[in-house]
Amino acid sequence: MKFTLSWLYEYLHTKEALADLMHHLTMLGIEVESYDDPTPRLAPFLIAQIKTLEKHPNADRLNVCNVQISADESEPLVQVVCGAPNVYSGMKTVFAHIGTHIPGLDITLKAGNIRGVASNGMLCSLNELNLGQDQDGIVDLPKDALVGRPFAKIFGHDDPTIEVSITPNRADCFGVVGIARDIAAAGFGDYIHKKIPVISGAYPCPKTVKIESKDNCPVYMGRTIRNVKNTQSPEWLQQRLRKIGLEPISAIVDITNYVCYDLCRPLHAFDADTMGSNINVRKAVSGETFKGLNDKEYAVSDRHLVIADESGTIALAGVLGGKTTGTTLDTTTVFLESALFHPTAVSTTGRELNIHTDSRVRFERGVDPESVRFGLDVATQMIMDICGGEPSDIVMAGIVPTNLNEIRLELVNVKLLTGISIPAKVIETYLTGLGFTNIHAVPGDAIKMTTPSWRFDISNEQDVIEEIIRIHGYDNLPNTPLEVAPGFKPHSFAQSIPLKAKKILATLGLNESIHYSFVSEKIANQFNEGNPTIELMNPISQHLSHMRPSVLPSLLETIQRNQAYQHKNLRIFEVGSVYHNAAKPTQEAVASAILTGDSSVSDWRKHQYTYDVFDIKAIAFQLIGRLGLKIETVQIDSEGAPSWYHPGQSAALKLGPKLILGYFGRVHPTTEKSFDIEQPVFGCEIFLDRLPLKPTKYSAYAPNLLQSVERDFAMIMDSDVPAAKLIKAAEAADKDYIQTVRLFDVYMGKGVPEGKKSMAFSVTFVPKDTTFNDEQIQQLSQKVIASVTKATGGELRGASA
Amino acid sequence: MINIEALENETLSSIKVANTLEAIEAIRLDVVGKNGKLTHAMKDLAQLSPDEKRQAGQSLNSFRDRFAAALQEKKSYIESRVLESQLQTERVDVTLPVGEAVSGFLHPITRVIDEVTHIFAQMGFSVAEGPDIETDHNNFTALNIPETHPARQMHDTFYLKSTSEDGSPLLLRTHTSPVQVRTMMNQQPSIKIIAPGRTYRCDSDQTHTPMFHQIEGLYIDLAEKVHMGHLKSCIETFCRTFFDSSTLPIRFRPSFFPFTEPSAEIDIGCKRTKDGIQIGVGNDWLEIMGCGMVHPNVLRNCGIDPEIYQGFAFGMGVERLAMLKYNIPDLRTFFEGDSKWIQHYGFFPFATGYRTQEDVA
Repeated sequence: MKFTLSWLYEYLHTKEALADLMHHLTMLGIEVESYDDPTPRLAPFLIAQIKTLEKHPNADRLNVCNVQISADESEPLVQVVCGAPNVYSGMKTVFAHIGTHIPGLDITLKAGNIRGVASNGMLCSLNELNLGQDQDGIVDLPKDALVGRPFAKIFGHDDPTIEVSITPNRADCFGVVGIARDIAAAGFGDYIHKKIPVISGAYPCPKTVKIESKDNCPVYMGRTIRNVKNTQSPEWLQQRLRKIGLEPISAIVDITNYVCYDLCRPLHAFDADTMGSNINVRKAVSGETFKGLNDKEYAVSDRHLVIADESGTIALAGVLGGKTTGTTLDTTTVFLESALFHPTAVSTTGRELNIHTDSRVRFERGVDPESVRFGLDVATQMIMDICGGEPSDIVMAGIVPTNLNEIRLELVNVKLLTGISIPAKVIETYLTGLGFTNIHAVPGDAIKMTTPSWRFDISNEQDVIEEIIRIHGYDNLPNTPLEVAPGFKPHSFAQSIPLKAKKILATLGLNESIHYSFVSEKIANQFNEGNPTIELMNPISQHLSHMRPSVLPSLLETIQRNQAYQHKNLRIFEVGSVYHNAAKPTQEAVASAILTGDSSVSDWRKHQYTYDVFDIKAIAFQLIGRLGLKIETVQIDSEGAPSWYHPGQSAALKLGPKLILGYFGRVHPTTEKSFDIEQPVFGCEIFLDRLPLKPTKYSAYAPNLLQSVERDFAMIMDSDVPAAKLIKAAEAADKDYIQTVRLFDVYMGKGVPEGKKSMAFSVTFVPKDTTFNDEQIQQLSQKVIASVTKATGGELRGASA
Repeated sequence: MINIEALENETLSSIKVANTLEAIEAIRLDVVGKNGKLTHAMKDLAQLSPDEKRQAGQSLNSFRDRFAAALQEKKSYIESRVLESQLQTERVDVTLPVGEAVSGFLHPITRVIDEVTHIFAQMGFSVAEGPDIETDHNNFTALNIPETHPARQMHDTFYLKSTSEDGSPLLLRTHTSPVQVRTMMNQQPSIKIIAPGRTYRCDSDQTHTPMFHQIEGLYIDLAEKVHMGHLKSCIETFCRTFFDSSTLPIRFRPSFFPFTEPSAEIDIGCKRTKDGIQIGVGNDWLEIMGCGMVHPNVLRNCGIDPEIYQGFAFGMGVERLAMLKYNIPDLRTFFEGDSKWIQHYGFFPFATGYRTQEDVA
């Protein structure tokens, strides 16, 4: 919403400076978005008179003018070379001194010598002052303009423009009058009640009006004005419209636009001679077409409320007038419409046909029902003043609805909600200023009041308190610290897990990434093991159409993007949600990580190495372990990873036969390829919500001072025996004395038969009560060998040789 | 009996020329070793008469002491020489570069959520969470957002093809407010929660991404225990702590949201320059968050009696906070996963630096 300061002054008598007024507006909730005060930039431009004029000796199109720029005629004249075609001796125009910045040209004037003749200033056009388009050259001012006086101030071009943003609840502030009322209510000026003319018709209106769609249009009024002479609007009106960004068209159109901004009262003027006699407010008939004032054709349907005559739609109700029935400079009889249309009806038409007009904006939010009548009269008066003509009686269908609410305000509740005590008298002043009526005290320390007809947002006590504190000023709110209970924890144990997972992965050297929760349909299917995917009805693009069933593809896409920047060695994780079950959508938290390329760039002491599946396995286990799960309890199912993993280099991590905690492995080469990734990627997914985690409980530490013993074994077995089998068997060889089993070498090749491998491992025996003797160690070693042999079929290396 | 004087001369001169620890050890063995000359001489004392024994014993002992001292002196000297030469040979080029740190970095969104959570935790707020996929009721209806509200249109909100069990539409939450709704439906006041999480809107341009993060807070208590002044204090404390400025200008500007009344937008003082926005200085204002007293309809919709209880709610965009505090110019880069970006803007996982209220008071 835009308006000018002088426009505001029509409704507000105030001594506040512009900057203060704008601050007050913002602090009233009418936020000033921008403003333009042309005063400083136009101040140097003076009214001047061309005293003498002669042709430039060296240029046909130039004139050398001697210009009077001071009210004192004895002051010397200034010589200016001017190229405007419309100069004449005695002309009063606009002069700029050397050194003045010319806004329309964005140059600063320098003393010039134009083809051998000195020029000590400039005579200006409106265009050069950014004040509009000139027809034929420099400004031609009236004869009585006072030489030497500031041009912009005298001719009203210094009026500042202010643009405010209006919150959806303040429909009334789409009129200058509403803005003025708020400022006055807050005590920053006096509201000026303008006299509303009441116009009686000179003859019966020749049109009839009917409302067929009563739910969408409670009241419709109109009148004809005959014998008008449509014309260009007067200068003041054109200026105001231009300043708020509207191009003046003709007086009748300009007047309806003016009233729209002035009183928040949208109107429409038809050329009465181009329309039928019987007006009907109805839903359009599907198949009808309509040509708008904007020259666009619209296909309307029974979803759209229209104004129709016998021939069909002549306007989109509350949105747009029609081309064929619009007023022109030749119009002699006007039919002026002032109606109330339902917000939903107007917004449906506007949205579906994609039409944005000032009228739509206002009707959508709600227009004062009372303004149907007075708005019609105000506009009629303006038309009569500018274009002449005789008004008819008002023709009307429906009734003006009443939307007044009576509200009871418990005074104690003002303090209860806001924390401030405001005296009843002050409250009453605020409410009166806002247009509440019938304010009176009622028993029980309360007041009652009636809401203004232009406020649709006030229906209960809390709405009224909002108004009171808004006018009183939020700056006056107290600052009351909150009480905090001691010993307070922001997170539950479960809530703390995702952040812990992030910190663990970051300390393991991985960088966090956060990705959109949606992926393409192709990816959603690729990572969902054949389950139905969750699809968006209105995705923003095809690439973001489905909720992701896995975080891994997000990370793969990030690898792809980084590849484009030649970043090939990547360690990335995301802790985020995945979404499952299209029939009954659920989400779960996943920590997913990938490694690809070479390990962190090493220094000169050691060489970097290329990541393999064991690096991602280490990440997965360290994550689970550091979150607090005993990793010894986790089973590795080498057949359990889903299809997007390499079948020979992947596993599911399980607790028991059913509970899958996650996966790790090399990404399937086909999957890598589908993301255009040219090197192996190793990924893992850990389902955080599935980990049976508990807060750590510490038992007392009892150090074992007896010396533990470490023994190494190398055993030969079939090459397809999983290492886990060996380790498990070795661990199980003796429950009391074996502490750890550590596999340290796997060897195939010379010295080991074909199809066999040698696995070397080290076992730590820990004594319980007394130090081991040789015999005990020997026995334990035999138990280890026997257990492993039994489980794997392996035998001690060198034993058979 | 040996000639002690001769032995002494001989050994002292050999100590003098010895220049390795091995030579010193050889001399030691030659004199006091198992078959050493002095050892033998000591053994030979047994054959002497008591008088001779005493005299010879004295001079032998005295020689032994002198020998030991001379030997030790030379040994120490050699050891210090050896050490010196060892230190010389062990010299390295300490300007050689060392490997990069192995730690990865946390995303600024994670960091900001953590910071904000901690600040509000100090004021007694605990974290509440809810799903990204929500019902139309929790996201709109319960929050007093009418059916006709533009936010409910398809161009603002992502709807799913799936529906909830009763056939009503499912959508991706457009704010974290449904968490407030869920909390209020499950719990009677007092309620003091903060809800961080992912949110979604159908918008994608320079300054909008279809997914972003929000943090919302809600405090509901007996009407006499919480009013707008508490809201003001809570927000001011947060802004000053988060932006680490006890003098940060803050203003409450009346605004409108369907779910709060009265409503306010919070602006903080700033200065706009061509290099970006400087917080806490200058004459400009920057909108940072929205807040207000919870609308009685919302309380009623969630099963809380607005005659007894009232409270406030607030909400802010995480990315916006991160961009302002950590000078990140482009929103879209948050979700691109550029490894250089995260190395620039990321946080060490155990980085501290959380401010407390006392720090800025």
